[in-house]
Amino acid sequence: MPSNGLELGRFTDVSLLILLSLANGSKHGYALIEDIAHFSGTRFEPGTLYGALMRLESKGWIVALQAQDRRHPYQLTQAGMDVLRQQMATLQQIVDVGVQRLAIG
Amino acid sequence: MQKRFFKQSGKGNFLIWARWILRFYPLAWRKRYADELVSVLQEHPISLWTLLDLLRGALDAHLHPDLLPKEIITMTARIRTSEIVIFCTFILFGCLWFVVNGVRDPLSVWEPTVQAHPAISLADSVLNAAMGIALLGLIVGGVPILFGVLRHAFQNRQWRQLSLLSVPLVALLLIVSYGLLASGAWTQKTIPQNPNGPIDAPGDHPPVRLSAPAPCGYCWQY
Repeated sequence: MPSNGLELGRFTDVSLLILLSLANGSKHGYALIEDIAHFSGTRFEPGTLYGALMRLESKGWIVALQAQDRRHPYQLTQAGMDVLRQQMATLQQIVDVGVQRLAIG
Repeated sequence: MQKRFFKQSGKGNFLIWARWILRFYPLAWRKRYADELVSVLQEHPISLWTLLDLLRGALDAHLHPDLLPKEIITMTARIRTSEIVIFCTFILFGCLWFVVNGVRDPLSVWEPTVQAHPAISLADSVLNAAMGIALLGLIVGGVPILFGVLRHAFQNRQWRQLSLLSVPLVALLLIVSYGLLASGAWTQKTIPQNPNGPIDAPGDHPPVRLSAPAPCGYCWQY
């Protein structure tokens, strides 16, 4: 299986959801938790969220904007957008295969 | 038990614990994320799992220093702290080594054995020499670090950096206090029981003399 560019260990799924959440605009930590809980049903604990944010920031896929009331909103970078697109394409391929095989079965 | 803990502990208590756990994160991480994380915690429902997750996050941050901002400063600080700890530990070890070397075996069991087998004496001498050289080497290597830490702490008024340097002093005080106490206890209790008997005779002393305090106290009288 080719590398999907999002190999962050146990933070891979969390990171994908964060990138997806930031795809429609910048958000700070708590807004990220709420948004991800809304569209995926998964509510992250803050320790896990900031472990993933640290990784995404160090990779240059997200960037922290000017702090507002102690909270930094995070924004997707172009590199982060590219990784997200690539990841979505991979997931789409997996979904297609899954649907096809289930239909055959 | 766990349910009762949840009931008794309101969010305020959990928030205090959460803030306390944040101290376990690396300094560089705290400077960058701590304020933000606290603001999230103030809005987020906090449970025991949240606290465990924070602890796991602290461990993760320590295990991945390359992800932290200002990595070089963090690594330098980490190396410096490790060197101070090793330095202090070896000073403590050196103090104990000198104390142990000052102890003379009152039962004289060791002497005939050493006389019968000179190799044992030689091995003991080699060990002592190696320990001395190692101690000297560590002092030579550690003194520049010591001065560096002192200069940095005084220049930047970061007194917390000096806290580790108190370890050798505290260790030395403890050893001296222990020796004095043991010596006093021996003088008050043991000597009057057998004031005229030969103190080195093997059968004259209770088994407790073989433990650490009594021989030390005994030898400190010479």
